[in-house]
Amino acid sequence: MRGHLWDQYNAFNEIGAGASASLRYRFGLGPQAPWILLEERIGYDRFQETVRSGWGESLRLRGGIAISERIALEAGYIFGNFAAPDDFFDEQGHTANARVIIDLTSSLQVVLGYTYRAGNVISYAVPPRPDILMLTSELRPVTTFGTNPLYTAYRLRGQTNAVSVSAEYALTRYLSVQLAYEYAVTSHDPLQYENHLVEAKVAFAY
Amino acid sequence: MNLLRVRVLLLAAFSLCHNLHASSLVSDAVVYAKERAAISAPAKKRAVIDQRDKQFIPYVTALQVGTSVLFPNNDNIRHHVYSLSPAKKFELPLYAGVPAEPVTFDKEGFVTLGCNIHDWMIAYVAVLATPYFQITGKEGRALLKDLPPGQYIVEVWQPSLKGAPRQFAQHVDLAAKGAKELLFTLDLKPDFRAKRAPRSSTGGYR
Repeated sequence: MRGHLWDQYNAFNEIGAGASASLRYRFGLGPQAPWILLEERIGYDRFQETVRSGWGESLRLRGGIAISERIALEAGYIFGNFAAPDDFFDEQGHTANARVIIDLTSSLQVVLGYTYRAGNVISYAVPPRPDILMLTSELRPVTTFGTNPLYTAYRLRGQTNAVSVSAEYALTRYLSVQLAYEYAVTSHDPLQYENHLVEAKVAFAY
Repeated sequence: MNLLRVRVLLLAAFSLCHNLHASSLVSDAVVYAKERAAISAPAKKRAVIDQRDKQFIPYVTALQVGTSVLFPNNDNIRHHVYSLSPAKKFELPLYAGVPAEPVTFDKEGFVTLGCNIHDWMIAYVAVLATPYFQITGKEGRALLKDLPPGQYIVEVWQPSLKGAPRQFAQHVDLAAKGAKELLFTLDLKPDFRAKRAPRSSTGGYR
């Protein structure tokens, strides 16, 4: 299960249910032996603005190796596909990422990451935007942000480069907390959007 | 009855940073007395290192060369026990329940055990060429009983020990019905063991 609640743009509020299956293989013995993980996830995400709801699927291949007792490297590829009843909100993307994981102490882990994504993005703007119209003919007025002014959604292909840093602290063997920051730049020349994402996560396993 | 009372303390210099969390008494230290003349006492036939709640129990085991160890898995998932230590290399590939055959530790030395599925599972085996040994508890004390009169070399080993046990060796001459008290001060490395907790970097294994 997963969900997102937005402070201002309630249309993006969502709840999703899904299932994933993964296969992990380690080439050898010990924590420093390299490993690969193949994971498939299928799920349904329902948005408050229901036209966005749909089925999503992601196929992930990830590998890693520990270069010392405290430092590990990971890299991965994800193919993501989201299909909404309204094709305009379909999304497809290819993502590659790399991470360095550093165990500062037994409990505190710091992760530095880089992510590249190429795929569909939806840009929202108040018309007239001839600069965006030059890049795509797929557009649609949306009430996601209200009606005054009325925004238009433009569907185009974009590239995202993101760097991130996160700190994860193990409180108990069943509970950890994570604080993460990501800076992402999405572009479709000459358009460019910047995002700053701060996340706080609580992970519980039983 | 001959007695050897041993107290094991942490080196003061190291305790500066470690005393915050631990007392200066050293637990899980294997204290053993080697007779200067060769010891020909037969080994205890069998020992057990349990796996419960995804942990090895006990954390440190001391045994005499030639002892066979059974590794029962009392969890409801499978474990993959291994050692890459020169004193005993072995592997018990994924199994549940009690393995049919025990593992015989036939060479003197110190062995690190791990589980190839759950990296936080770690344990140590001190394989000793003497029947006179004991492991310190939280109070940092060990009591070696029933030593025949004679000359002994007493050594201490601990998983985090800096250097070799012989660096800390003490020579003892035990008379009939004699009792001696020894004090060892060890220099230990910081105890780094990745905590068992939900992590974003472990591929989902806990």
